[in-house]
Amino acid sequence: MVRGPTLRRWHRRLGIVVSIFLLVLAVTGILLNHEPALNLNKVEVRSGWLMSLYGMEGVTSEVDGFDLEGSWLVSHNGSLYLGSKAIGSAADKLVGAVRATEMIVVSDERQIFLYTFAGDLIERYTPTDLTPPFVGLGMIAGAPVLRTDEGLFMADADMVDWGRFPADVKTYVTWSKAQRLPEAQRNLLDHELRGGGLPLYRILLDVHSGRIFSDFGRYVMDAAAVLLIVLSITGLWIWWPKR
Amino acid sequence: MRVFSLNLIILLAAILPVHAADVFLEPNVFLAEVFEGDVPSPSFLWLKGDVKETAKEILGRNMGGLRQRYWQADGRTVWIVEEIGKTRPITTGISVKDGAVERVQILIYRESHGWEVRYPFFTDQFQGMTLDAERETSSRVDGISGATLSVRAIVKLVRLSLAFDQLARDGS
Repeated sequence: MVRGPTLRRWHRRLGIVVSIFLLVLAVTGILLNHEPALNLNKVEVRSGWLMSLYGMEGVTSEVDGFDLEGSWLVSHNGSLYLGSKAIGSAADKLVGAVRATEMIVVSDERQIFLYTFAGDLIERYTPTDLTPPFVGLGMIAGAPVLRTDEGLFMADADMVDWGRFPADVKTYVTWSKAQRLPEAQRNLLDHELRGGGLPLYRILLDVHSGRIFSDFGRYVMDAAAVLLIVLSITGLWIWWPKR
Repeated sequence: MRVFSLNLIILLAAILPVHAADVFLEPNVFLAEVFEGDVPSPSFLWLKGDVKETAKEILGRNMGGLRQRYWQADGRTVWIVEEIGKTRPITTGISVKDGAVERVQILIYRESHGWEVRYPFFTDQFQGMTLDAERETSSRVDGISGATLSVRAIVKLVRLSLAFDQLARDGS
């Protein structure tokens, strides 16, 4: 049988360790208990590292995009965005994007994407009159010009056919170039990728149960609960009058 | 040592699965083959009303876009369409003549698995297939073990092309 002083010493040590968890449990427990009054489900938290903990990754690296006179067209992880609006996907690397008279024209190495100015897809197609890869997309007098290894090609007004374009006018073509996305646009995109934020109620609940650190956190909280049980028993044992 | 390394690289290249986009046939070459060099100008099927509903029923999702281009001549329509197998789109050329599949050709394959669908032993079985009343293929399609999602995607594209062919010939 453990003697009185030894038991008291271990009881104190355990108490210090468990007190940290007890504080967390007590504070989060009180807040959760009053969730309706505190409206915790409506409070959204948008902390980068916290959202990453939940797998809600945003923009993880520097992003390039194409400036379309005010709005930006961006390809991120295979998805296309106009501003912060998801407008489709591109299988291959983007070559350029231009704002033509009637529509937005985007090109990857093999395909052409036509969008309305609002970002609605009109058509995504492989121009069968051209030989990929496409290496450049530009504009001349409001009309898109595509560059391949075989030369320059210009589309008709409805973007149905591409016809050969004299190579000697290529100096007059304004070529679309990828540029580093400005901070404000990057934040917009990050916001879109991560969604609306995490409800505070869910965070508190996950801190309370330990689930915020996945299975590891859950087992840590289980261990703290077991220690609390041990502490209660040793406390009672110490307090109980001995003969 | 250098020879050994080279042999190792060649061996690895031979046994590792295909990961990058593989162009089996350029779309323009496919069209030229089907129309024997005399490719007509493209026509458009507008994706609205019945056409949009039909596409949604077959693909199980809304088909993006406002129009789908196709090529039509001599009782034949040709469609270059895409569907995702597992994660990336498979670009497929499908020729329909007099309401029946004439040729299915995998043009660009981007998935890491399931590329066996490119081989004639799979694509040839669609020849002569039509659409039944439920917009299913008129005969059963034999799958490929380990390429279930790619097979499913190609079957959807064949059904879509047959349905679009009907709608295009009806003048939608």
